Amino acid sequence: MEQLIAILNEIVPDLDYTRCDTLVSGRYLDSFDIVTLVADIYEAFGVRVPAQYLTPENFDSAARIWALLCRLQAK
Amino acid sequence: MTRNLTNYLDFTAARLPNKPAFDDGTERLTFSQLRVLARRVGSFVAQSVGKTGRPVAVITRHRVADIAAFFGILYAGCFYVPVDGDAGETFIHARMDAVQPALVIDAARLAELPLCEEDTATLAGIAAAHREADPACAIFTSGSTGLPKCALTGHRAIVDLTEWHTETFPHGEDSIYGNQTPFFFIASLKEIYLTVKNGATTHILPKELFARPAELLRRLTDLRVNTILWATAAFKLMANLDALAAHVPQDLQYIFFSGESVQGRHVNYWRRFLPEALYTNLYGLTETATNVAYYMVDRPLDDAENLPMGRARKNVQLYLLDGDPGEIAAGGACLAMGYWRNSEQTAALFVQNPLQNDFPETVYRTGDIARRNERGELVYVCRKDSQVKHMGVRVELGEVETAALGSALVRDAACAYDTQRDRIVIFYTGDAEETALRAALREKLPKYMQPKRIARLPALPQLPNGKTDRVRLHQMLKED
Repeated sequence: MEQLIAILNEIVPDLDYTRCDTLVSGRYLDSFDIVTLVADIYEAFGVRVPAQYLTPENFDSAARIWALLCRLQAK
Repeated sequence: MTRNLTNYLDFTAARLPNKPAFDDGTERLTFSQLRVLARRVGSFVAQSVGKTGRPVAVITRHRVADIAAFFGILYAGCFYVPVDGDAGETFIHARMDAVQPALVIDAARLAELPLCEEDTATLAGIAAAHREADPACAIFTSGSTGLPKCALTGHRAIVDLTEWHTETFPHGEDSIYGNQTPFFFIASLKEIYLTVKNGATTHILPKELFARPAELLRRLTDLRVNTILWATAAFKLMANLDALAAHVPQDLQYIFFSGESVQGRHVNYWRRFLPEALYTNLYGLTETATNVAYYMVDRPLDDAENLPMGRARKNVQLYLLDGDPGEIAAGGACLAMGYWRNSEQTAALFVQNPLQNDFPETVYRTGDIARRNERGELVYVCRKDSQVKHMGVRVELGEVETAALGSALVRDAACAYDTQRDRIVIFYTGDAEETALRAALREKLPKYMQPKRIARLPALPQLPNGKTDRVRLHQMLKED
């Protein structure tokens, strides 16, 4: 989780990732940030995120992204 | 012959009054409704401004109302200056200062304007005096001096573009566009005027959808979109996210992209899912009413190859200055009239064709270096200055530096573009914290120009002559 927050901080700094739960719906992360994030996640965790999972429900907070990664990794 | 863009709307509103023209998901206007509203706005503008040929700023919201405001301004014989409504207030004010518009219309508040019924006599008088050389719009683009430039485009250039597109590609009444480009970028001229000329329909896609690619592509199917004219950045985005694996928008037949280089692998990705679609790479600039060259994908592409920019479109002349490879210069009816209130930059870039001195011929020096391949197609090589393409938008790093220096938070600042991670990086010296500079830049620059990474240094690396060592900055990016 710390590693994920470090990745997010690189992409959009100065956000409280432990609290923010509107990353996508609040437009903190735009479409280009998501491409970077998906690439960085693959590099760091070896998990590919298929496009159908790129939704606000899965990406609106660091905790949700982490939960998604755990689900995908278990597959 | 069409001399004025409002003629398109007049003809189409008479021919197809009840056909949906623009739809943003919340509001939808038929051609007839668009014309009625635009003429009421036009009457208001004409009365408020009092004369033709003046700039009227539009705070755009990526909504149907933007289009109504544009046409209203054109009916009033004025020209529109679209500004990004999502940008910070400081940024919008700076743009207003540069333009000194006769009137500002916030598209979000179009309904609040004290509109009366149309003033038919006044509008008819204005229409009788239309000339194809009249200015239609002025669009901001990043400037190498660190200040933005505002390119003024006439009706004739946009009519020329619209007519060429229509005769070259199958645009028509059946075309359904899925618009991605915000209306403060020149590329959006295509959807607006192709829709109005041909009686097509444009669905304005909210930009948040591009962060939800599966939903975006399903929306294209729901809306039966068959044609997209997207920024190359958005086209590549779908490939990089493997978005078509989630949903294939089967109605898509004509796929155009423009704004930056694109590699074979991006097109090959799309072709795997939509093999029958026609893919066209368009090349154009803010100063040339967009497209001056195009390449229709007509052969198998290697994943690693850069797509050519192709050949000059009809009625445009492209030259390579100083040999092959050389800088592209463009001439023809497509040329902007010049930069608004900036005769210096106009004279520097809209010049007599350096290749001949027999008769007056103005060309625009693009700053793009290209070469010709064995097929005679133009292939992009590089920029001749520090302009970069970021998220599909042209950005002069000097403009970002000027914004930082103007904030009084930094002593010195220099930008570099990190091509590995597609991001703008700014290095600075001074006492202010990174977060303070970031907050200041958020107000002064639109989102696509904001540096993703801000790094404070004790001193910027210098060359012996005292200039910033930009090569060293690039090395620092790699070491980062």
